[in-house]
Amino acid sequence: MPEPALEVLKGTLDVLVLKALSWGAMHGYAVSQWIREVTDEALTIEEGALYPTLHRLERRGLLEAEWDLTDNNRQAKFYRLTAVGRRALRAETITWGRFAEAVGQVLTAKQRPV
Amino acid sequence: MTAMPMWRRYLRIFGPTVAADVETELAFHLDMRTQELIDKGWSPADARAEAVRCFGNRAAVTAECRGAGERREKRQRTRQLLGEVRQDVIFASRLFAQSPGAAALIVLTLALGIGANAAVFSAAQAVLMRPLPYDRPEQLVMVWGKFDRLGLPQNSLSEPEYWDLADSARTLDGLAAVGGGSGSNLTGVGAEPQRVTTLAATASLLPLLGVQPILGRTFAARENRSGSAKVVMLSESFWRGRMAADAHVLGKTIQIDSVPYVVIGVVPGAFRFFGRYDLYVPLGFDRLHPAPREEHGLAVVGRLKAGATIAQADAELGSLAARLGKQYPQSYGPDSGWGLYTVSLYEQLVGDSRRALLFMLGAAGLVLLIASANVTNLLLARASVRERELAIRRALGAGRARLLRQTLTEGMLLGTLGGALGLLIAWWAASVFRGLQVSGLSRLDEARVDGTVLAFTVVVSLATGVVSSLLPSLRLIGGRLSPRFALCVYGRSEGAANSRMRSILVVAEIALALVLLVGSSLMMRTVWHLTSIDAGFDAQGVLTFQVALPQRLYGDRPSIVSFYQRALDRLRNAPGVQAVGTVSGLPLSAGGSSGTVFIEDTPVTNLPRGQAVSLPMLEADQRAVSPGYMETMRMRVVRGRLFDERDRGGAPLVAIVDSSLAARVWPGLDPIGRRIAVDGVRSSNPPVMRWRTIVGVVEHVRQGSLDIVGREQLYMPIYQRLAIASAFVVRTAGDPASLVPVIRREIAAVDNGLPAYDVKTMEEVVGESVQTRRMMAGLLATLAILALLLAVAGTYGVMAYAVDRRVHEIGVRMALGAQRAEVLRLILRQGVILTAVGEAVGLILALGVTHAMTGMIVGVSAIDPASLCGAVVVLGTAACLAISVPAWRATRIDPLAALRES
Repeated sequence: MPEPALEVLKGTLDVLVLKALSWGAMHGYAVSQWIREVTDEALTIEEGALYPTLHRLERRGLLEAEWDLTDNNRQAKFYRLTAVGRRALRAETITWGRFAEAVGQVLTAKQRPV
Repeated sequence: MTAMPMWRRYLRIFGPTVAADVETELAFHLDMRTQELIDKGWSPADARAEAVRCFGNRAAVTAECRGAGERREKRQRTRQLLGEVRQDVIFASRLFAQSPGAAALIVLTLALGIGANAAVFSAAQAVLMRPLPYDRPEQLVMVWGKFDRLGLPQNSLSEPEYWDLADSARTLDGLAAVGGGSGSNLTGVGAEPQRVTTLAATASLLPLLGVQPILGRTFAARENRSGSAKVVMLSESFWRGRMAADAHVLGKTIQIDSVPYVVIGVVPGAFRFFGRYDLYVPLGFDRLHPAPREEHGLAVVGRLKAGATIAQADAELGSLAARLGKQYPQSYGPDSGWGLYTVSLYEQLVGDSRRALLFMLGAAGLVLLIASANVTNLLLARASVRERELAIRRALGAGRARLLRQTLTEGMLLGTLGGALGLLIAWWAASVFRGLQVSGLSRLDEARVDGTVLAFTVVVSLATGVVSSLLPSLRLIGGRLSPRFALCVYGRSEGAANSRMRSILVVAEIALALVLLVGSSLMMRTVWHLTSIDAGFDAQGVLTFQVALPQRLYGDRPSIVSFYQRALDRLRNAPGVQAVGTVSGLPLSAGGSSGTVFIEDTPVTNLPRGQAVSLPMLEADQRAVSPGYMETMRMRVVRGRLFDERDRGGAPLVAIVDSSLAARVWPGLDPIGRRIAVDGVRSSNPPVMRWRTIVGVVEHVRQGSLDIVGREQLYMPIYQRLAIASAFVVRTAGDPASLVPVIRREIAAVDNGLPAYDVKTMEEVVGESVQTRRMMAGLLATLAILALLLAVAGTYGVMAYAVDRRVHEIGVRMALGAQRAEVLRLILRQGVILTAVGEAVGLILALGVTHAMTGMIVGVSAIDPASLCGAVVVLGTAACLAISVPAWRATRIDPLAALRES
């Protein structure tokens, strides 16, 4: 059982999903597995919450989906980034970097507010 | 997007697919998670439970995913449909580009048909459908009096009657009156004296109609009174045009008929009430000293109380009239058929034009039908060529519905192109309508292509596109499209059903065209009949103009008499003038009055009798004319003499009656020397009549309109019954229009403050009186010519196509020894039979349709043989010419080439 961890904002999940799919097509379960592994289960979310996110991104045209067979011959819905999704990921990455940097600077500030 | 593998598509057969997809996806996740935990050493039951726990709220997730999926699905479906439509449109455009000639022909045909309809609709919409420009116009009614037995079915009201209505009509919420519009001489604006039109109205008129002045205020109630200060409102066009939109105009003074009036407001330009006027002045009303009850000169408009109906108002007015009849028996004799009633304002303004315009819409509809039949025929011809293409597409998996959609899209595309072009035609036609100035069709000058016309055109275009491509489409995708057919070699023969349908369409086209031709020739013969009718005078070579003498300068008898004498003398002696005269009301134009004529002695017993003076009487048109008027108009003398210089003020009173009055009052007797009277010596009781001796009888003249014989007429010498407004008539041997500068100069020489206005030749006056009918005839003739051209083009098209299809057969016949003449006969026979059947059907239809034209046509019978024969001959000749071209071409077929080709 993982520790109850940080609550993940909905918007954050979008970025994570986009990032997960940046390496290629994956089905939903694989995406959730990847997120768990990469974050060392630090960012724990209810796994089910992933699916509305995937469907929303698909409807907005950031992802496209295709039914295919997995390695063990089961039907699964595979998601893949569209060009629009790829652009969104790039934009989000930059935004996140700036945001993290800004918050970091604030938290490491030496100067007392006047 | 290559979204789904084939096998997933088949799942869709069994129901809502989005739900199934979501279900499968989530189940997959749980299964994988369970398996992962089992691999880590969990027991299957625990693993499952843990997987479900980690997953969270499955129901909520499912619902959310389904929502997103369904929205996506819907959008996808729309996009697919749009994609298909786009595909169809592109495909259709490509098809048209392949045979641009045929496509252009179809579009042009549709444009003519649709354009004609949009044009007529724009006129009908302006005149009939646009609501009257007043506040809640449906509640507005005109109130009229009537004296049925005196031949006055719609009579103006008098001031006391107006007050009676205002006091006791409970069904009416408001009441306003206008006097007849009149002309006035305006000075003080610009250098020259000007003629302006003036409407006198009660203060209540503008508020009742809900019209706000754009500047200043409307009349105050006290300004109705005759004694109060003179105020005037300007029309917007007068204010802009003649006063340069002077912003400080309020409070300024202008001289109307040499009386100063203070400007208090400006009426918006769109305002009209029975015509447009330059100036509006208060009607001089005085409740305490009203005008005589018999002086009927007011048009009264009222507003029905909310919820009240015309029938209720009529019932109330009926009892009011009965009460007044008892109260004032000398004003409303029991024999007069006196009554009061209402007519809705809409009915009053457009009632007469409605039938004519609806008829024109019908005629335009027929033209569109012919155009559609033509297009159907052209598309049928193409369909035969396209059968193979569609069979291949069908073999490749296109469904019938999909193919139908494709062909109908083609039709709608053609319709849209035709409609766009048709709109240009309508736009042009509307500008022609605006310039026509047909007074009988009020508001025709507002015809334009607006949103309503646009919407009408769009609907008509799409409908026409679908209708004309429906038959060919059904023919195309019905029956013969088996895949086997797609690959077989296709010859030039054609299905019997196709050629039968084609023949029926040609017959229909010819029949409809014949109906229009008959209708338009009846209408043209009506106009011709009316303009050649013997109106009792000779309009040729006569110039007319009006002069009105301002009361302030011409207040007494001698000044008026002197004006007429000097003006007539000068004009008579002017170069080029043969004869000259004046009349108080010119025939066939507004103006002139009628009144009661008392008869001293008559053998006729069925004439009504007056109350105050118990004498036989009748209502007759009355005109004051100068010596020379009847000679100038070349009116015919039946008996006695015309007026001359003897008939002056102090001389014995005389009169001339027309032949119809003589026949009605003294049938078979000589009226000369008998006496009549139009008035009595006032203030004597019982009145002493001022008897006039009849000195002559002239032929009846059509006064009001050419198609109505009209009332009996009475003429009096102008010096014995002075009129301050008269029409002058001047006869010349040459072109009457060349006299215009002469008459202006001569009138100015008598009084340079007097404008001569309404200067027209008498032939123009006659022409304007048949303006509405002439416009209808012109419109109908245009439509008929269009129909003729379309029908002939259609016949040509079908015959040319038939010959084309029969090249092989004709080749064989010729090879077997058929002579050219025989071939010619073969083809001509087919065409002539089609034409003859079409004309026969058309004649039967025409008899039904022209029956509905009674009332619009005058002087010709609805089954006028000349019109019917003329139409049959014209159409028949044109059709035969159209047939002979392909027939001649058939005789040129080279049998060898024809046989080799197949």
